[in-house]
Amino acid sequence: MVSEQVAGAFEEFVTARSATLFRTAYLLTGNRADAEDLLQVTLVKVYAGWRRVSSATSPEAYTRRMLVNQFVSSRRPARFTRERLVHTPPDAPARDPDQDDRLALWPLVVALPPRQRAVVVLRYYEGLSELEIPDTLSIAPGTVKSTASAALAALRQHIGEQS
Amino acid sequence: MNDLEDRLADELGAVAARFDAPYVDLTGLVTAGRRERRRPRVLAGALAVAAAVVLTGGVMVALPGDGARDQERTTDVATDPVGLGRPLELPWWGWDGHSADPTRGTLRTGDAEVEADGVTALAHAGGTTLVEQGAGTWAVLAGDVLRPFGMSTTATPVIGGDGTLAYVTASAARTYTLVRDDDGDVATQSLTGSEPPVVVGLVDDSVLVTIADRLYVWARRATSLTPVVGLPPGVDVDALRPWPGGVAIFGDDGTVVTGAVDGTRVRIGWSAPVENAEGVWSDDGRRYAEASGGEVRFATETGTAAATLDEDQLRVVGWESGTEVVVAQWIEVDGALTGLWRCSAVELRCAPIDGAPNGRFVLPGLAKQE
Repeated sequence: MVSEQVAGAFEEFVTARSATLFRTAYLLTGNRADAEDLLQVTLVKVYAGWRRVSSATSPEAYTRRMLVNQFVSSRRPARFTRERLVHTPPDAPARDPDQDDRLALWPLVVALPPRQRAVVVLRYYEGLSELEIPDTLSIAPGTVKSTASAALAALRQHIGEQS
Repeated sequence: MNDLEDRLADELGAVAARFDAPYVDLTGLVTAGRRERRRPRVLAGALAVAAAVVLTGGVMVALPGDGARDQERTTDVATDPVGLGRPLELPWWGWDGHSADPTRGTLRTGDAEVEADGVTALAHAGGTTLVEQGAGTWAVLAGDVLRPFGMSTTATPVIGGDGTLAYVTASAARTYTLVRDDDGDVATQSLTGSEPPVVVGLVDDSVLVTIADRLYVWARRATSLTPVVGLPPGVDVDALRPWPGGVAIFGDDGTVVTGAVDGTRVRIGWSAPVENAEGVWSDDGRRYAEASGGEVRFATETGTAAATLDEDQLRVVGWESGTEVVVAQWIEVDGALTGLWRCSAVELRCAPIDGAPNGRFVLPGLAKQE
Protein backbone atom coordinates (compact mmCIF):
# COMPACT_ATOMS: atom_id res chain seq x y z
CA MET A 1 0.00 0.00 0.00
CA VAL A 2 2.79 2.41 0.92
CA SER A 3 4.58 1.50 -2.29
CA GLU A 4 1.46 2.30 -4.30
CA GLN A 5 1.10 5.64 -2.57
CA VAL A 6 4.71 6.48 -3.35
CA ALA A 7 4.27 5.45 -6.95
CA GLY A 8 1.12 7.54 -7.24
CA ALA A 9 2.73 10.64 -5.80
CA PHE A 10 5.79 10.13 -7.96
CA GLU A 11 3.73 9.73 -11.12
CA GLU A 12 1.80 12.85 -10.29
CA PHE A 13 5.05 14.72 -9.84
CA VAL A 14 6.51 13.47 -13.11
CA THR A 15 3.37 14.28 -15.04
CA ALA A 16 3.34 17.81 -13.70
CA ARG A 17 7.03 18.58 -13.91
CA SER A 18 8.61 16.53 -16.67
CA ALA A 19 8.16 19.22 -19.32
CA THR A 20 9.94 21.84 -17.24
CA LEU A 21 12.70 19.45 -16.27
CA PHE A 22 13.11 18.27 -19.84
CA ARG A 23 13.63 21.83 -21.07
CA THR A 24 16.39 22.32 -18.53
CA ALA A 25 17.90 18.98 -19.51
CA TYR A 26 17.83 20.02 -23.15
CA LEU A 27 19.58 23.30 -22.46
CA LEU A 28 22.25 21.46 -20.48
CA THR A 29 22.92 18.69 -22.95
CA GLY A 30 22.26 20.51 -26.21
CA ASN A 31 20.44 17.69 -27.93
CA ARG A 32 17.22 15.84 -27.49
CA ALA A 33 18.60 12.33 -27.12
CA ASP A 34 21.00 13.24 -24.34
CA ALA A 35 18.32 15.33 -22.66
CA GLU A 36 16.02 12.33 -22.60
CA ASP A 37 18.87 10.26 -21.18
CA LEU A 38 19.55 12.80 -18.49
CA LEU A 39 15.92 13.21 -17.51
CA GLN A 40 15.28 9.50 -17.30
CA VAL A 41 18.36 8.76 -15.21
CA THR A 42 17.42 11.59 -12.88
CA LEU A 43 13.81 10.51 -12.53
CA VAL A 44 14.87 6.96 -11.73
CA LYS A 45 16.94 8.37 -8.89
CA VAL A 46 14.11 10.62 -7.83
CA TYR A 47 11.87 7.61 -7.41
CA ALA A 48 14.60 5.72 -5.54
CA GLY A 49 14.94 8.65 -3.14
CA TRP A 50 11.33 9.80 -3.23
CA ARG A 51 10.95 10.13 0.53
CA ARG A 52 13.80 12.63 0.59
CA VAL A 53 12.68 14.41 -2.56
CA SER A 54 9.06 14.74 -1.51
CA SER A 55 9.98 16.12 1.88
CA ALA A 56 12.09 18.88 0.33
CA THR A 57 10.76 22.42 0.45
CA SER A 58 10.51 22.33 -3.32
CA PRO A 59 10.64 18.84 -4.82
CA GLU A 60 11.04 20.40 -8.26
CA ALA A 61 14.04 22.46 -7.18
CA TYR A 62 15.50 19.40 -5.47
CA THR A 63 15.03 17.36 -8.63
CA ARG A 64 16.51 20.10 -10.78
CA ARG A 65 19.54 20.08 -8.52
CA MET A 66 19.86 16.33 -8.98
CA LEU A 67 19.50 16.76 -12.72
CA VAL A 68 22.17 19.44 -12.99
CA ASN A 69 24.61 17.53 -10.82
CA GLN A 70 23.88 14.36 -12.76
CA PHE A 71 24.80 16.26 -15.91
CA VAL A 72 27.99 17.76 -14.52
CA SER A 73 29.05 14.55 -12.80
CA SER A 74 28.39 11.96 -15.43
CA ARG A 75 29.58 13.73 -18.53
CA ARG A 76 31.67 11.41 -20.63
CA PRO A 77 33.25 11.71 -24.03
CA ALA A 78 31.02 10.93 -26.95
CA ARG A 79 32.44 7.46 -27.38
CA PHE A 80 31.00 6.52 -23.99
CA THR A 81 27.58 7.98 -24.65
CA ARG A 82 24.81 5.70 -23.51
CA GLU A 83 21.77 4.76 -25.46
CA ARG A 84 18.63 6.81 -25.31
CA LEU A 85 16.69 6.33 -22.13
CA VAL A 86 13.36 7.94 -22.86
CA HIS A 87 11.29 6.94 -25.78
CA THR A 88 9.70 9.66 -27.85
CA PRO A 89 6.69 8.55 -29.84
CA PRO A 90 7.40 8.90 -33.56
CA ASP A 91 4.25 10.95 -34.04
CA ALA A 92 5.60 13.73 -31.87
CA PRO A 93 8.89 14.71 -33.45
CA ALA A 94 10.72 17.82 -32.40
CA ARG A 95 13.79 18.88 -34.27
CA ASP A 96 16.77 20.27 -32.46
CA PRO A 97 16.74 24.02 -32.91
CA ASP A 98 20.48 24.32 -33.47
CA GLN A 99 19.96 25.11 -37.12
CA ASP A 100 17.77 28.13 -36.46
CA ASP A 101 19.54 31.15 -37.87
CA ARG A 102 17.88 33.43 -35.37
CA LEU A 103 19.69 31.72 -32.53
CA ALA A 104 23.19 33.11 -32.70
CA LEU A 105 24.19 32.39 -29.11
CA TRP A 106 22.67 28.96 -28.61
CA PRO A 107 25.30 27.02 -30.63
CA LEU A 108 27.98 28.84 -28.66
CA VAL A 109 26.33 27.93 -25.37
CA VAL A 110 26.25 24.27 -26.42
CA ALA A 111 29.99 24.43 -27.08
CA LEU A 112 30.81 25.62 -23.56
CA PRO A 113 32.34 23.15 -21.08
CA PRO A 114 29.67 21.42 -18.96
CA ARG A 115 30.14 23.36 -15.77
CA GLN A 116 30.10 26.68 -17.60
CA ARG A 117 27.00 25.61 -19.47
CA ALA A 118 25.32 24.58 -16.22
CA VAL A 119 26.04 27.95 -14.65
CA VAL A 120 24.75 29.77 -17.74
CA VAL A 121 21.53 27.75 -17.81
CA LEU A 122 20.91 28.16 -14.10
CA ARG A 123 21.59 31.88 -14.22
CA TYR A 124 19.96 32.96 -17.48
CA TYR A 125 17.26 30.36 -18.00
CA GLU A 126 16.31 29.29 -14.51
CA GLY A 127 16.96 32.78 -13.19
CA LEU A 128 18.81 31.59 -10.11
CA SER A 129 20.76 34.16 -8.18
CA GLU A 130 24.49 34.11 -7.55
CA LEU A 131 23.69 32.87 -4.08
CA GLU A 132 21.46 30.02 -5.26
CA ILE A 133 23.74 28.60 -7.93
CA PRO A 134 26.59 27.63 -5.57
CA ASP A 135 24.07 25.75 -3.46
CA THR A 136 22.66 23.96 -6.49
CA LEU A 137 26.05 22.92 -7.82
CA SER A 138 27.68 22.46 -4.41
CA ILE A 139 30.62 24.60 -5.37
CA ALA A 140 32.05 27.73 -3.86
CA PRO A 141 30.47 31.11 -4.73
CA GLY A 142 33.82 32.25 -6.05
CA THR A 143 33.95 29.28 -8.38
CA VAL A 144 30.51 30.13 -9.71
CA LYS A 145 31.58 33.71 -10.35
CA SER A 146 34.76 32.70 -12.12
CA THR A 147 32.93 30.04 -14.13
CA ALA A 148 30.23 32.49 -15.21
CA SER A 149 32.84 35.07 -16.07
CA ALA A 150 34.77 32.56 -18.17
CA ALA A 151 31.59 31.50 -19.96
CA LEU A 152 30.61 35.06 -20.82
CA ALA A 153 34.13 35.86 -21.94
CA ALA A 154 34.12 32.83 -24.23
CA LEU A 155 30.78 33.83 -25.70
CA ARG A 156 31.96 37.38 -26.28
CA GLN A 157 35.09 36.13 -27.96
CA HIS A 158 33.17 33.85 -30.30
CA ILE A 159 30.68 36.57 -31.11
CA GLY A 160 33.58 38.86 -31.96
CA GLU A 161 35.10 36.21 -34.21
CA GLN A 162 31.82 35.72 -36.03
CA SER A 163 31.13 39.40 -36.65
CA MET B 1 22.04 42.62 -17.07
CA ASN B 2 23.98 43.77 -20.08
CA ASP B 3 23.09 43.12 -23.69
CA LEU B 4 24.80 39.74 -23.90
CA GLU B 5 23.06 38.53 -20.76
CA ASP B 6 19.70 39.76 -22.05
CA ARG B 7 20.26 37.92 -25.33
CA LEU B 8 21.24 34.79 -23.45
CA ALA B 9 18.08 34.85 -21.40
CA ASP B 10 15.97 35.45 -24.51
CA GLU B 11 17.60 32.71 -26.59
CA LEU B 12 17.61 30.08 -23.88
CA GLY B 13 13.96 30.82 -23.24
CA ALA B 14 13.20 30.58 -26.95
CA VAL B 15 15.00 27.26 -27.29
CA ALA B 16 13.31 25.78 -24.24
CA ALA B 17 9.86 26.96 -25.30
CA ARG B 18 9.99 24.73 -28.35
CA PHE B 19 9.72 21.57 -26.32
CA ASP B 20 6.67 20.00 -24.81
CA ALA B 21 6.86 17.26 -22.25
CA PRO B 22 8.52 14.12 -23.62
CA TYR B 23 6.68 10.88 -23.50
CA VAL B 24 7.68 9.14 -20.29
CA ASP B 25 6.84 5.55 -19.46
CA LEU B 26 5.78 6.02 -15.86
CA THR B 27 5.44 2.32 -15.17
CA GLY B 28 8.93 1.72 -16.46
CA LEU B 29 10.28 4.57 -14.36
CA VAL B 30 8.75 3.17 -11.20
CA THR B 31 10.09 -0.29 -11.94
CA ALA B 32 13.55 1.12 -12.63
CA GLY B 33 13.37 3.26 -9.51
CA ARG B 34 12.55 0.24 -7.36
CA ARG B 35 15.46 -1.63 -8.86
CA GLU B 36 17.71 1.35 -8.22
CA ARG B 37 16.62 1.45 -4.59
CA ARG B 38 17.46 -2.21 -4.13
CA ARG B 39 20.87 -1.90 -5.77
CA PRO B 40 23.61 -3.28 -3.50
CA ARG B 41 26.18 -0.61 -2.77
CA VAL B 42 29.27 -2.52 -3.76
CA LEU B 43 31.91 -1.54 -6.23
CA ALA B 44 30.43 -2.95 -9.40
CA GLY B 45 26.91 -2.00 -8.49
CA ALA B 46 27.70 1.37 -7.05
CA LEU B 47 27.97 3.08 -10.37
CA ALA B 48 24.71 4.79 -9.74
CA VAL B 49 25.79 7.66 -11.93
CA ALA B 50 25.65 5.37 -14.91
CA ALA B 51 22.73 3.34 -13.69
CA ALA B 52 19.75 3.54 -15.91
CA VAL B 53 17.19 1.65 -17.82
CA VAL B 54 16.55 1.86 -21.50
CA LEU B 55 12.98 2.13 -22.55
CA THR B 56 12.81 1.16 -26.16
CA GLY B 57 9.32 0.68 -27.40
CA GLY B 58 8.32 -0.12 -23.88
CA VAL B 59 10.88 -2.89 -23.51
CA MET B 60 13.31 -2.40 -20.64
CA VAL B 61 16.94 -3.25 -21.26
CA ALA B 62 19.61 -3.15 -18.60
CA LEU B 63 22.51 -0.79 -19.17
CA PRO B 64 26.02 -0.92 -17.70
CA GLY B 65 25.62 -0.19 -14.03
CA ASP B 66 22.75 -2.58 -13.59
CA GLY B 67 23.70 -5.33 -11.18
CA ALA B 68 22.77 -8.25 -13.40
CA ARG B 69 24.60 -6.81 -16.36
CA ASP B 70 27.69 -6.12 -14.30
CA GLN B 71 27.96 -9.75 -13.34
CA GLU B 72 27.98 -10.64 -17.01
CA ARG B 73 30.70 -8.16 -17.89
CA THR B 74 33.53 -10.35 -16.80
CA THR B 75 36.97 -9.89 -18.24
CA ASP B 76 37.58 -11.47 -21.59
CA VAL B 77 40.34 -13.92 -20.84
CA ALA B 78 41.23 -14.30 -24.48
CA THR B 79 42.12 -10.65 -24.82
CA ASP B 80 43.08 -9.98 -21.23
CA PRO B 81 45.37 -12.81 -20.16
CA VAL B 82 46.68 -11.07 -17.07
CA GLY B 83 43.28 -9.87 -15.86
CA LEU B 84 43.95 -6.18 -16.29
CA GLY B 85 40.23 -5.50 -16.48
CA ARG B 86 39.46 -6.66 -12.96
CA PRO B 87 37.69 -4.20 -10.62
CA LEU B 88 39.60 -1.32 -9.12
CA GLU B 89 41.64 -2.12 -6.03
CA LEU B 90 42.88 1.37 -5.21
CA PRO B 91 40.68 3.42 -2.88
CA TRP B 92 38.19 5.81 -4.40
CA TRP B 93 35.45 8.07 -3.21
CA GLY B 94 32.23 8.87 -4.99
CA TRP B 95 28.97 10.66 -4.68
CA ASP B 96 26.33 8.25 -3.39
CA GLY B 97 24.31 8.87 -6.54
CA HIS B 98 21.10 9.37 -4.63
CA SER B 99 21.53 12.56 -2.68
CA ALA B 100 21.00 15.89 -4.38
CA ASP B 101 24.12 16.98 -2.55
CA PRO B 102 27.08 15.62 -4.53
CA THR B 103 29.42 16.13 -1.59
CA ARG B 104 27.77 13.21 0.21
CA GLY B 105 29.41 9.96 -0.65
CA THR B 106 31.22 6.81 0.25
CA LEU B 107 34.89 5.90 0.40
CA ARG B 108 35.62 2.45 -0.92
CA THR B 109 38.85 0.63 -0.38
CA GLY B 110 39.16 -3.10 -0.74
CA ASP B 111 36.09 -4.54 0.92
CA ALA B 112 35.57 -1.56 3.22
CA GLU B 113 32.97 1.13 2.64
CA VAL B 114 33.07 4.24 4.78
CA GLU B 115 30.55 7.03 4.67
CA ALA B 116 32.62 10.18 4.19
CA ASP B 117 31.20 13.50 3.07
CA GLY B 118 32.99 16.31 1.33
CA VAL B 119 36.07 14.33 0.32
CA THR B 120 38.34 16.53 -1.78
CA ALA B 121 41.44 14.37 -2.20
CA LEU B 122 42.92 10.97 -1.43
CA ALA B 123 46.47 9.81 -0.97
CA HIS B 124 47.45 6.16 -0.97
CA ALA B 125 50.73 4.28 -0.73
CA GLY B 126 51.97 1.09 0.82
CA GLY B 127 48.49 0.08 1.95
CA THR B 128 47.85 3.34 3.81
CA THR B 129 44.99 5.59 2.72
CA LEU B 130 44.62 9.26 3.62
CA VAL B 131 41.43 11.25 3.09
CA GLU B 132 41.17 15.03 2.74
CA GLN B 133 37.85 16.60 3.70
CA GLY B 134 38.39 20.25 2.96
CA ALA B 135 41.64 22.00 2.20
CA GLY B 136 44.43 20.61 4.36
CA THR B 137 42.07 18.66 6.64
CA TRP B 138 43.31 15.09 6.46
CA ALA B 139 42.40 11.87 8.20
CA VAL B 140 43.97 8.42 8.02
CA LEU B 141 41.74 5.45 7.30
CA ALA B 142 42.14 2.93 10.10
CA GLY B 143 40.00 -0.12 9.28
CA ASP B 144 36.65 1.45 8.54
CA VAL B 145 37.22 4.49 10.74
CA LEU B 146 38.66 7.85 9.73
CA ARG B 147 41.14 9.14 12.30
CA PRO B 148 41.56 12.91 11.79
CA PHE B 149 44.99 14.46 12.11
CA GLY B 150 43.42 17.18 14.25
CA MET B 151 45.29 19.95 12.47
CA SER B 152 45.49 21.29 8.93
CA THR B 153 48.51 20.51 6.83
CA THR B 154 50.34 22.85 4.50
CA ALA B 155 50.58 20.20 1.77
CA THR B 156 49.58 16.63 1.03
CA PRO B 157 51.15 14.36 3.66
CA VAL B 158 53.85 11.94 2.56
CA ILE B 159 53.31 8.24 3.21
CA GLY B 160 56.33 6.04 3.88
CA GLY B 161 56.69 2.45 2.76
CA ASP B 162 55.81 1.19 6.24
CA GLY B 163 52.78 3.45 6.58
CA THR B 164 54.55 6.15 8.57
CA LEU B 165 53.23 9.62 7.79
CA ALA B 166 55.07 12.94 7.61
CA TYR B 167 53.53 16.34 7.17
CA VAL B 168 53.82 19.99 8.11
CA THR B 169 51.31 22.15 9.93
CA ALA B 170 51.34 25.91 10.42
CA SER B 171 51.07 26.63 14.11
CA ALA B 172 51.56 30.41 14.00
CA ALA B 173 52.97 33.09 11.75
CA ARG B 174 56.34 31.87 10.48
CA THR B 175 56.11 28.91 12.85
CA TYR B 176 55.60 25.40 11.56
CA THR B 177 55.45 21.95 13.06
CA LEU B 178 56.98 18.97 11.31
CA VAL B 179 55.05 15.86 12.28
CA ARG B 180 55.97 12.18 12.01
CA ASP B 181 53.10 9.83 12.77
CA ASP B 182 54.02 6.17 13.08
CA ASP B 183 50.63 4.52 13.58
CA GLY B 184 49.67 7.00 16.27
CA ASP B 185 53.15 7.33 17.75
CA VAL B 186 53.54 11.02 16.97
CA ALA B 187 56.76 13.02 17.13
CA THR B 188 57.00 16.71 16.31
CA GLN B 189 59.68 19.25 15.51
CA SER B 190 59.07 23.00 15.62
CA LEU B 191 60.56 25.10 12.85
CA THR B 192 60.48 28.76 11.93
CA GLY B 193 60.87 30.44 8.57
CA SER B 194 59.18 32.61 6.01
CA GLU B 195 58.03 29.61 3.97
CA PRO B 196 56.71 26.28 5.23
CA PRO B 197 59.11 23.33 5.10
CA VAL B 198 58.28 20.73 2.45
CA VAL B 199 58.45 17.02 3.16
CA VAL B 200 60.17 15.33 0.22
CA GLY B 201 60.68 11.85 1.55
CA LEU B 202 60.42 9.27 4.29
CA VAL B 203 63.22 6.73 4.56
CA ASP B 204 63.05 4.16 7.30
CA ASP B 205 62.74 6.27 10.42
CA SER B 206 63.92 9.51 8.87
CA VAL B 207 61.95 12.40 7.38
CA LEU B 208 63.51 14.30 4.48
CA VAL B 209 62.51 17.92 4.33
CA THR B 210 63.52 20.99 2.36
CA ILE B 211 63.78 24.33 4.07
CA ALA B 212 64.65 27.34 1.96
CA ASP B 213 67.18 25.92 -0.49
CA ARG B 214 68.55 23.02 1.52
CA LEU B 215 67.67 19.39 2.14
CA TYR B 216 67.62 18.17 5.73
CA VAL B 217 66.99 14.87 7.46
CA TRP B 218 65.10 14.47 10.70
CA ALA B 219 66.11 11.15 12.18
CA ARG B 220 63.97 9.34 14.72
CA ARG B 221 64.69 10.50 18.26
CA ALA B 222 66.79 13.37 16.93
CA THR B 223 66.01 16.72 18.48
CA SER B 224 67.14 18.70 15.47
CA LEU B 225 67.46 18.48 11.71
CA THR B 226 70.72 17.67 9.98
CA PRO B 227 71.72 18.95 6.52
CA VAL B 228 71.97 16.25 3.88
CA VAL B 229 75.07 16.23 1.69
CA GLY B 230 75.80 14.64 -1.65
CA LEU B 231 73.24 16.30 -3.88
CA PRO B 232 74.70 17.23 -7.27
CA PRO B 233 75.86 20.86 -7.43
CA GLY B 234 73.21 23.31 -8.48
CA VAL B 235 70.23 21.07 -7.77
CA ASP B 236 67.08 23.06 -7.13
CA VAL B 237 65.46 21.58 -4.03
CA ASP B 238 62.07 22.45 -5.53
CA ALA B 239 62.80 19.69 -8.02
CA LEU B 240 62.99 17.04 -5.28
CA ARG B 241 60.12 14.59 -4.88
CA PRO B 242 59.63 11.56 -2.66
CA TRP B 243 61.15 8.34 -3.93
CA PRO B 244 61.11 5.08 -2.00
CA GLY B 245 64.57 4.95 -0.47
CA GLY B 246 65.30 8.64 -0.74
CA VAL B 247 64.48 11.43 -3.14
CA ALA B 248 63.92 11.76 -6.88
CA ILE B 249 65.64 14.67 -8.56
CA PHE B 250 63.75 16.00 -11.59
CA GLY B 251 65.96 18.04 -13.87
CA ASP B 252 65.18 20.72 -16.43
CA ASP B 253 66.78 18.46 -19.03
CA GLY B 254 63.88 15.98 -18.90
CA THR B 255 65.48 13.39 -16.69
CA VAL B 256 64.89 12.00 -13.24
CA VAL B 257 67.72 10.84 -11.04
CA THR B 258 67.21 8.64 -8.00
CA GLY B 259 69.01 9.58 -4.81
CA ALA B 260 69.19 6.98 -2.05
CA VAL B 261 69.54 8.64 1.34
CA ASP B 262 71.79 6.88 3.79
CA GLY B 263 72.02 8.73 7.07
CA THR B 264 72.85 12.26 6.08
CA ARG B 265 74.22 11.50 2.63
CA VAL B 266 72.59 11.18 -0.79
CA ARG B 267 73.97 8.47 -3.05
CA ILE B 268 73.07 9.20 -6.65
CA GLY B 269 71.60 6.22 -8.46
CA TRP B 270 70.13 5.59 -11.89
CA SER B 271 68.53 8.12 -14.17
CA ALA B 272 65.92 7.97 -16.90
CA PRO B 273 64.24 10.33 -19.36
CA VAL B 274 60.81 11.49 -18.19
CA GLU B 275 58.17 14.01 -19.25
CA ASN B 276 57.53 15.62 -15.88
CA ALA B 277 57.21 15.03 -12.16
CA GLU B 278 53.51 14.16 -12.21
CA GLY B 279 54.06 10.42 -12.52
CA VAL B 280 53.98 7.87 -9.72
CA TRP B 281 56.71 5.61 -8.35
CA SER B 282 56.05 1.98 -7.62
CA ASP B 283 56.26 1.09 -3.94
CA ASP B 284 59.68 -0.49 -4.45
CA GLY B 285 60.97 2.55 -6.32
CA ARG B 286 62.04 0.48 -9.30
CA ARG B 287 59.55 1.91 -11.79
CA TYR B 288 58.28 5.39 -12.56
CA ALA B 289 55.01 5.57 -14.50
CA GLU B 290 53.67 8.59 -16.34
CA ALA B 291 51.03 9.05 -19.00
CA SER B 292 50.67 11.51 -21.84
CA GLY B 293 50.59 11.68 -25.60
CA GLY B 294 48.60 8.50 -26.00
CA GLU B 295 50.92 6.25 -24.06
CA VAL B 296 51.85 5.13 -20.57
CA ARG B 297 55.59 5.11 -20.07
CA PHE B 298 57.53 3.09 -17.54
CA ALA B 299 61.00 4.28 -16.64
CA THR B 300 63.36 1.85 -14.94
CA GLU B 301 67.05 1.51 -14.26
CA THR B 302 67.46 -0.47 -17.47
CA GLY B 303 65.48 1.78 -19.79
CA THR B 304 62.08 3.10 -20.71
CA ALA B 305 59.17 1.23 -22.25
CA ALA B 306 55.66 2.31 -23.14
CA ALA B 307 52.17 0.88 -23.46
CA THR B 308 49.89 2.51 -26.02
CA LEU B 309 46.71 4.08 -24.67
CA ASP B 310 45.18 6.19 -27.37
CA GLU B 311 43.44 8.71 -25.15
CA ASP B 312 44.12 12.25 -24.04
CA GLN B 313 44.25 13.94 -20.65
CA LEU B 314 45.70 10.86 -18.99
CA ARG B 315 47.01 10.79 -15.44
CA VAL B 316 48.63 7.98 -13.50
CA VAL B 317 46.61 7.31 -10.34
CA GLY B 318 48.79 4.75 -8.60
CA TRP B 319 50.34 1.32 -8.57
CA GLU B 320 48.34 -1.72 -7.52
CA SER B 321 51.33 -4.02 -7.59
CA GLY B 322 54.95 -3.79 -8.56
CA THR B 323 54.01 -4.23 -12.21
CA GLU B 324 50.51 -2.79 -12.64
CA VAL B 325 49.45 0.82 -12.65
CA VAL B 326 46.04 2.50 -12.79
CA VAL B 327 45.64 5.31 -15.32
CA ALA B 328 42.75 7.77 -15.44
CA GLN B 329 41.37 10.08 -18.05
CA TRP B 330 40.83 13.13 -15.92
CA ILE B 331 39.11 16.28 -17.14
CA GLU B 332 40.73 18.59 -14.63
CA VAL B 333 38.69 21.69 -15.43
CA ASP B 334 35.50 19.79 -14.64
CA GLY B 335 36.94 17.56 -11.94
CA ALA B 336 35.49 14.67 -13.91
CA LEU B 337 36.80 11.15 -14.30
CA THR B 338 35.94 9.88 -17.78
CA GLY B 339 37.94 6.71 -18.13
CA LEU B 340 40.01 4.28 -16.08
CA TRP B 341 42.49 1.65 -17.23
CA ARG B 342 44.96 -0.75 -15.69
CA CYS B 343 48.28 -1.05 -17.49
CA SER B 344 50.96 -3.68 -17.16
CA ALA B 345 54.58 -2.58 -17.09
CA VAL B 346 55.51 -6.12 -18.10
CA GLU B 347 52.93 -6.81 -20.80
CA LEU B 348 53.09 -3.18 -21.96
CA ARG B 349 49.39 -2.96 -22.58
CA CYS B 350 46.31 -1.51 -20.93
CA ALA B 351 42.73 -2.63 -20.45
CA PRO B 352 39.63 -0.74 -19.25
CA ILE B 353 38.86 -1.47 -15.63
CA ASP B 354 35.63 -3.36 -15.22
CA GLY B 355 32.90 -1.40 -13.46
CA ALA B 356 35.11 1.65 -13.21
CA PRO B 357 33.64 4.74 -11.60
CA ASN B 358 33.09 7.76 -13.76
CA GLY B 359 31.91 11.27 -13.12
CA ARG B 360 32.55 13.25 -10.01
CA PHE B 361 34.82 10.86 -8.20
CA VAL B 362 38.01 11.27 -6.23
CA LEU B 363 40.94 8.95 -6.66
CA PRO B 364 44.46 9.21 -5.26
CA GLY B 365 46.22 12.12 -6.88
CA LEU B 366 43.11 13.33 -8.67
CA ALA B 367 41.80 16.11 -6.50
CA LYS B 368 38.31 17.37 -6.98
CA GLN B 369 38.49 20.88 -8.34
CA GLU B 370 36.41 23.50 -6.57
